[in-house]
Amino acid sequence: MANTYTPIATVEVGSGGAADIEFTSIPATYTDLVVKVSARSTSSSGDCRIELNGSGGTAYSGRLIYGDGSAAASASNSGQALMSWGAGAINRSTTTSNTFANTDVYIPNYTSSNNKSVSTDSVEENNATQAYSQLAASLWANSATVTSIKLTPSGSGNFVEYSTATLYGIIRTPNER
Amino acid sequence: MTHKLVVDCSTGVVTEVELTAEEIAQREADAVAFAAQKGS
Repeated sequence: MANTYTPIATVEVGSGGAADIEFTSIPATYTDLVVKVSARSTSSSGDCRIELNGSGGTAYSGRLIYGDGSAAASASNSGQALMSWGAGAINRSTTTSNTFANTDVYIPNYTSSNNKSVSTDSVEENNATQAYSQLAASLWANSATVTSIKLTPSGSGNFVEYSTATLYGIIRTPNER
Repeated sequence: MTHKLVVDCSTGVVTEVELTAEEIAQREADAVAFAAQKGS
């Protein structure tokens, strides 16, 4: 098991909010990347997307399972311009004030010449019956090293003040394969 | 809201960057496309 968890960069959204959070010039010196996100959106739409390397195009696909407090469901897509569920759930504007969703994004082997997979585990916080928790598996069909990660709330939402995102680098231990 | 926060991981510097017209248009297009995929 990897025993390093090196913080690379962190950002906290200021009083003006922000449309996107983007990590650029990511060093290629780690094995895996992790992004930990605590976020709330101005939109009533409750997901957060990821775009790698500003690539756009149609190379993204995803699989999602989620619960909303009452029922479970799933969704999938392909040929997308971004990872629709890559950065997980984000607290919607309709949720309890001043609460934030928590998300872990794991990007293994981000410097490899293979397609890139992304695993996402997240939960929304809400003092009501409806609160989303979701797991997503996403794919970027591209062989390039990941050098930038952009997070964008769905529904043209913006990150509210005090939303945070931290990027970590993971280095596998010498005895791992 | 027309700006994004860009974090340069080589320096740690965080910069506010105005969205381009193209980026704003893409956000709107993505919002419409996404609405059909999951209703949360």
